[in-house]
Amino acid sequence: MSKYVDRPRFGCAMAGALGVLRAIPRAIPIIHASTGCGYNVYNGTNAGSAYLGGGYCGATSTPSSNIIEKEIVFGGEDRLEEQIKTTLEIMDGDLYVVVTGCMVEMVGDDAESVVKEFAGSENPPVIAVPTPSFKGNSYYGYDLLLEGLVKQYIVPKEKKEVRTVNILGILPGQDVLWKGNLKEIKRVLQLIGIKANTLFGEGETLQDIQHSAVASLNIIVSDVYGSLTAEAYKEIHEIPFIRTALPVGYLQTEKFLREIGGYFKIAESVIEKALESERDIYFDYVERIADIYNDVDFQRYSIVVSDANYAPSVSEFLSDELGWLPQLTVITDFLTEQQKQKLERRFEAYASGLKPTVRFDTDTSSVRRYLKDTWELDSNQRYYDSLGPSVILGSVFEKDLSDEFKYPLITISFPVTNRVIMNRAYVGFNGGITLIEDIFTTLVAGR
Amino acid sequence: MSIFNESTEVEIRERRLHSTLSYHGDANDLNEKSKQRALSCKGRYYGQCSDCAEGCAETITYHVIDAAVVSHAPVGCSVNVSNHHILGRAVSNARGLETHKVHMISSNIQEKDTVYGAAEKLRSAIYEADKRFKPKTIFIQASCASGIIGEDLESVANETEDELGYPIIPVYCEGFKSRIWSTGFDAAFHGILRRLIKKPKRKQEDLVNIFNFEGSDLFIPFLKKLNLRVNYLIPLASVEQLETITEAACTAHICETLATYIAAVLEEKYGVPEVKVPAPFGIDWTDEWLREIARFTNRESLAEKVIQEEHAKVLPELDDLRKKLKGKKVYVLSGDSFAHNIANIVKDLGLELAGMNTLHHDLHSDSPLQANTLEALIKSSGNIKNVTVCNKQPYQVLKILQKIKPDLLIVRHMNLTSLGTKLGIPTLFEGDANYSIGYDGVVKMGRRFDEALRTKKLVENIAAHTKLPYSDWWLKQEDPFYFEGGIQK
Repeated sequence: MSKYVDRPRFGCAMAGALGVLRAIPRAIPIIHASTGCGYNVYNGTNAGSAYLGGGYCGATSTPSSNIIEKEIVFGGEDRLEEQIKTTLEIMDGDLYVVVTGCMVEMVGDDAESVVKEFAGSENPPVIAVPTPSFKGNSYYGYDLLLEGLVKQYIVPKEKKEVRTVNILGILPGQDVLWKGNLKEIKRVLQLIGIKANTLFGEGETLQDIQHSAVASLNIIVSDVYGSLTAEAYKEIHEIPFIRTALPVGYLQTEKFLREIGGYFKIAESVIEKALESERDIYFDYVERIADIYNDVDFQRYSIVVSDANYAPSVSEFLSDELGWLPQLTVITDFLTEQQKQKLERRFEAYASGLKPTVRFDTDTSSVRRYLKDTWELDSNQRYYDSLGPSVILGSVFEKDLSDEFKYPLITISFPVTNRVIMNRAYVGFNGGITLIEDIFTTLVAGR
Repeated sequence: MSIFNESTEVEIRERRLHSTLSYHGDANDLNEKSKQRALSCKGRYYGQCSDCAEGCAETITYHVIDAAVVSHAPVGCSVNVSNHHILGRAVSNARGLETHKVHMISSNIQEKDTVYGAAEKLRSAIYEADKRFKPKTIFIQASCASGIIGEDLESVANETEDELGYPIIPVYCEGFKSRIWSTGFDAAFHGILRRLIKKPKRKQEDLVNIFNFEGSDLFIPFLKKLNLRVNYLIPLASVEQLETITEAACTAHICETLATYIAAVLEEKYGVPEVKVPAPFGIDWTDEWLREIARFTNRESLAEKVIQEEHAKVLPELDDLRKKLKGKKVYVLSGDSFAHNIANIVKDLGLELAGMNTLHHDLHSDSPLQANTLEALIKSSGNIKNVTVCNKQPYQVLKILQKIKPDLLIVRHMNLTSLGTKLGIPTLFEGDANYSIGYDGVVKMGRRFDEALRTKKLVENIAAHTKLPYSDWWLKQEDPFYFEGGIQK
């Protein structure tokens, strides 16, 4: 039996799908669900993803069938059909996507057959991607939505472009730095001559998604997410995929570029040249903190509470680039045993030789317990060594923990309500510099 | 017929208060049609998303001190917890209370549970909430999913209540049950009335119940002028505080939509009189509100003295503000009947009330003696043109605003504010529903309007670069109410 969750750090499948639609220019979502679902998702994700805003057609503007008891009893397909028809009249978009709430799935509405009535007309395409929320959370919804686009919208391309790739695994909204991260991934790949389509990054349009089948490889920058989409690309459009970790900072990004470069058999000299130039820039910045780091002794114990994408990479970054002592990492997603094992391996080969205690738990108040488990408690020993100084990198839910133990908190993962995030990234070379900036800004803030 | 009955659920607003979600006309006409119950709760051919009863119930249950909440729902319904953290933290700190922590667990209803039932999961979540948070009461919030599978919340509540020895309170706030999200307030209050509130042990003659939306602490200093104490309800009230609300001298609230149900029941069942004049917004309503409270607490002459002093205090600045704001048109967009409260301030500032939209409208209240704020507003401000009712629906509001072209917009619901900005209209957010009470509230609103008008730079910049998501056909459409009606009649 699956268990309860103490303060979930994600939305439902529909929330993940709406996050993707929020990110795609001129895509119009049509929610088939109760009246409150759309706004609840917006309200949670706007604040939780560091003030993302409603965008072109999100928030209270999102078209929604707003079904009520009558449709629960008699079915809501007629109401959905009416809503699609009127949405096509009133909302100005290039692609209309029906997503569904749990209640209409429970009563058996078939959104996919309803949209068939709109196929082949003069209208822009209307597709349906059922997103039953009792089957999964935002991570699942992201994957369902993209899988739906791959199956129903993306144009087949026989001829592939060499060294053109699509980027998967970064979730708009759920990853609060998604847009900056996509931008940096695109930039670093460009350094070694690879053209990356991030699907909904800066300047990208619906056409980029529509024609994404020209890629010769899909790169999933996530150990566990994006499978449905990648498999669909592979099966329908014959695009293979590889998975990498989310590369945070110099060391991980170098590894990432070598891995992708190796796949495309890019000349060693090209990669080396790119790395040399980036290395100069990167460490010219990083060297700046050497003074303050040593003068004030900024070595810290680290406590990382984050999702399956960020937690391993950030923990490794803190250990192997900042020279911190990795104490505890809690990964807060729903994961299978197999996925957990895979993620565990990410903690086993730190250059520092250190390894944090790794726990998997979706419950917010469990973090405190794990923290106490990893360190001997103060029972009035003569020379008690407290766990400190420490820093927490987590979500805003860690505020209570931060207050209680007086450990500064840097919010990096959903929900992040105490920051406004626009185009910054923690991924790549520039991301590493920004993360250092944010961490040390927090530490010097009181000066 | 009594207002309160022991049934598990309170009747939804469409049936209980004959609420409507669509109307356009003027204030007089709406008031007359309401009296004749001549409006029904129709749907729309085209809809945009809005709120639900579960969300409204959360604004109460998540904020009871020493309580925990089990949301019997798929995890996604709880995506908004972080906003409750922000609110709870900010207001408890501002009021000098211990920082409020939202204690909630989602039962995480999954596919299998929708087939085989989820009572076992609910029970385990309740016991876990007990273990983790050591609460004095636990609310069980229903959801669309738990409602459809027909989960027997009563049995689980009774059983766990026996075991844990404190109240376990089911709140029937399934999102699909009512189109009027405020039904969620009633659902939470009904649960509290059924299982938490006790008979008075004694009377506290100087204690006034104030039902509010977790706003800032302005009632304590205000009622101190009458030597009265304030019992802020329900957000940030403790369980003990709730048990004893029946001891208060009277009950007032800042919005009829929020609290007329519980206020009427407190009067009917426990003899706590309800203040039956509109909330203290605008000078005239504040006068009457103070007099009514004074009547229940035997402070009539003191009230007259306070009224006189307060008038004298605010008049000079009001004169000044009226000059500054003269000729400006303001449009009010808020819930029923809070919109009436805001609108009643408009005349005091010499502004023109260009129109008003309420997000729903109750054709009557729970008791015929309760205030009719719409009628009171007509009395104080005259008939009002451009009065509409719609549940957010920015596509419609946009057309109304483009037609009326107000100089200022004031809104109580998040995200509708940015609609004003996108259209280039300086917009005030009335998020803190206590902020504009009393005499000072009129002055403060005037200052805010003045400030909003002094520079419109952000508004202009955003408006100049915003693309609206509507088709040319809709932008040229003459009738904003084109899509009213629809299949759900």
